[in-house]
Amino acid sequence: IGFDLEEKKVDLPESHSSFLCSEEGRDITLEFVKQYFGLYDGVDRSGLINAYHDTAVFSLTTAYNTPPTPQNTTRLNDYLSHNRNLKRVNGHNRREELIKKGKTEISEFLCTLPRTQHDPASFTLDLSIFNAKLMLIFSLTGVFKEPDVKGEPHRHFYRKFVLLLSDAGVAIVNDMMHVTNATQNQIKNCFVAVPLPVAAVPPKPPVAA
Amino acid sequence: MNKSQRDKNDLACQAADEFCKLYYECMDKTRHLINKLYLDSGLMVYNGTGVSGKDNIQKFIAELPATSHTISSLDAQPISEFAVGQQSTLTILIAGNVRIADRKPAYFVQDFTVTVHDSKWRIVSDCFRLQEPMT
Repeated sequence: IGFDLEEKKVDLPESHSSFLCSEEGRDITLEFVKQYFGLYDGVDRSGLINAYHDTAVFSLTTAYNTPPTPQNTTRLNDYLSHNRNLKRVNGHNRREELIKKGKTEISEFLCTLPRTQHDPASFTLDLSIFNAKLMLIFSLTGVFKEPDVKGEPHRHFYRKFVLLLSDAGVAIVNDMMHVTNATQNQIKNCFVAVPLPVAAVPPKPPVAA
Repeated sequence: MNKSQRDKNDLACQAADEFCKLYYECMDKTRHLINKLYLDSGLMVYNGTGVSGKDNIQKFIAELPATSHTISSLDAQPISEFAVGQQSTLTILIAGNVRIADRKPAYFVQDFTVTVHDSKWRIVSDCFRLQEPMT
């Protein structure tokens, strides 16, 4: 006879590629993602200037998901010098400098990052706030590769956008980006599937736990 | 950039640092209190599953396997007044490793939208994603 304190086996809820808090917001968000990453993956990113509001802000963080070893030499150097990781950057001035401000500074900065090719089939998209007449907030993750960089590194990214919505169109006011190396499992599974699973996913109401 | 915007950026950094410590300590050790960090109408999105309402969120989190988070990266910005008016609201982005039950640690990224309510910071919404392939 034992005791009843043994923890019952609990597992994680199944992952879904997308959560959309509003059906109405889905089409605007998907169209934005398509246009934005179309330009981002292009030879010249300067057209992205039109996606940003005059007062927009952007910041980038990066971290190794596993410590780099002599065997795994994929470095994040192109991102590290702009890393606004508040765990490491302490000075007020440096923290302030690392926020890119305004559409011109942001688009010019994005042009300096390595050229990319994103895999739309790897994307996850979570639309968390939608107000049809004002704004929306969504988060996007996925895999891209850098075709011009030696060894063609694959990266995992997470992007969070705050967009203003008006009759004049859509404008980014806040943009946050996190980059790390893709895992072996991600590398094996990317650039093979037919895009785009997110578009096929019907919006779901939140579940009651 | 004017002085007042700079002050707001400083405040966002301070609040985010404190929030990050509190949230993951609560998540890892005192989950029964985590509803206090959310707005009544808060939304949590966990690997694509949406849970709305702070009490539902607490129940959902209580049923997750035990976790231990190690934070590697933190960033924060005040959200534009054009989007939120005078309602002080922050966007926070956090990344690190999480050990879930007895699995190997996995990398995660989580973002939060946090606003002031009854003179406390509270979560409006958050999205959590483990680094895993979607197939």
